[in-house]
Amino acid sequence: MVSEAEIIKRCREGEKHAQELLYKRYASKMLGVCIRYFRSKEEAEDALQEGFIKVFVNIEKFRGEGSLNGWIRKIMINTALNICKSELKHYFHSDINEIEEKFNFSKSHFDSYSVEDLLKLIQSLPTGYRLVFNLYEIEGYKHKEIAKMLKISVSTSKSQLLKARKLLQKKLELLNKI
Amino acid sequence: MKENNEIGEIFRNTFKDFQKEPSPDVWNNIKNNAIPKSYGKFNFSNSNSILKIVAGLAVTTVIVYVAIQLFNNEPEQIVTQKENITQNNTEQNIVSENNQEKISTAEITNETNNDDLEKIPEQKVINNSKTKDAIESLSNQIDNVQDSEKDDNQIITKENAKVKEIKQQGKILVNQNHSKQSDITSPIEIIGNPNIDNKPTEKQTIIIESNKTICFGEDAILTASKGDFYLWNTGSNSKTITVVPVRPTTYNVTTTDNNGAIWIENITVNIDRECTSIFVPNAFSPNNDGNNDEFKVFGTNIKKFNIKIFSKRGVLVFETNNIDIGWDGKTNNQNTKSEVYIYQINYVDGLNNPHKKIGQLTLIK
Repeated sequence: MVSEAEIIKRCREGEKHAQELLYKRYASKMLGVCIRYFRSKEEAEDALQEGFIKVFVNIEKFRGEGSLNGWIRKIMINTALNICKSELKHYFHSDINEIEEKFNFSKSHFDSYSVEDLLKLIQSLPTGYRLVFNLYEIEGYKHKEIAKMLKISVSTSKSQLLKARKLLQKKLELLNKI
Repeated sequence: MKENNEIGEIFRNTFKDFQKEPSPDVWNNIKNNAIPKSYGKFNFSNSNSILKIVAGLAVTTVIVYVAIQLFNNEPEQIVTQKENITQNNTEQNIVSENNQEKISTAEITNETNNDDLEKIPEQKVINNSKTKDAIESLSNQIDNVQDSEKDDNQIITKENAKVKEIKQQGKILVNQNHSKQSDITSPIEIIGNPNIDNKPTEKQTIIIESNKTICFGEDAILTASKGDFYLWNTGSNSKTITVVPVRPTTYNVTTTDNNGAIWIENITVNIDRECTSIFVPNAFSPNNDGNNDEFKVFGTNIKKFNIKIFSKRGVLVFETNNIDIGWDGKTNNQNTKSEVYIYQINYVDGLNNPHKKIGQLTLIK
């Protein structure tokens, strides 16, 4: 096992093999992050690809202050947000009543939810809800930070989160009834 | 009823360590620096060194791309085959592509004197020398490959294979002289110089035949043995596919690797109707309506059998050594909840091979 420091060092020198090692180490993890921001795996993979290119280009800037995992994760989230932002303005206005989506949940989950089901739920959220929910609940950003990242107001961020929670709750209850 | 803040917690806990395997294309695209369109927004400010790296990568990519293009566009391909390949691999068609541009101008001149190869246009010789220049400027690694290719080509010249040209988009097909030694009746399409060791290097296609026998009703797990990228005739892109054929079926997979080598594997799955088979249902409904009230494993030709059923919390709820005894969904005469249970089955098949099968079953009320 090549140490992380060694991989970083060799990545800085632009060594392809080290880049591949780095990719292999983090790709699945980071796709697990990206996929929550998009409706499909394909879109998430595009973001992953773009994110990793940024990682390789910017690896010099990584000072080792935080963990590499956290640093790459931040880049992935930013990349995903950048891609989503372009469609954001169309989505912040959608109302809960407008969104009646159909899901095909795999049955057999009674008291617990499978990751795939929850992922489908997140992916089914309107983009605005999805981004705010992901950033606030899963990544742990504050409303102020989210407002800055998405260039929206703090109150929009808060209301999007509430709506997202409400919608998810409704869908989870539906899921329970199946 | 879930409170709002609980919702966040459910998702937070679920996705904290969530991982998803990306498709192999992603790394391939990154490696080839196929930068997505939206990448243009990226800020390069005050990083001259980064710019240099990017420029360097871009130049390298262009050179590699040009070289690859020249390899691929090479219209004439020499066709020949070594006798020993036919002998050693009677079941394999070997299709390989020649990187003729890798051989030197001098060699091309030699070869054009050969009757069999006189149709190579002069223009191509010029192209080849250009390509050669480009290639020489590439890394040592490619030079090494080039050297080995040269050797191969010289052997082919000596070989004097009878080449019968069939015009087909610049490809040359040969009638194989040695085909009588194999069961291959039609002309083998051989493009380029097959490697004597049958190790595909670059630009070769090798067809691999293999067989697999499964019991009737069993899953057949087929794995591509070579390459990095896969396309099955089932449409799947994964390395391994699981199929449940009910009659003998041949599946094929086309695989390529990063160097452009191509394999075609034909895997024939035969069905053995005599052997041990086992079928485990994945759900049952113990509500006394006469349908699926018991969870029962069906098997034929099973010598020893044991099943254990566990609840999700790991409590053993049912166990038997008799395959004919089913579970009625009760534990200690108490009804159990609608839930997902885990079963673990150990059995010995007709050939005395032990097997272990673990899976989920759902109790539906």
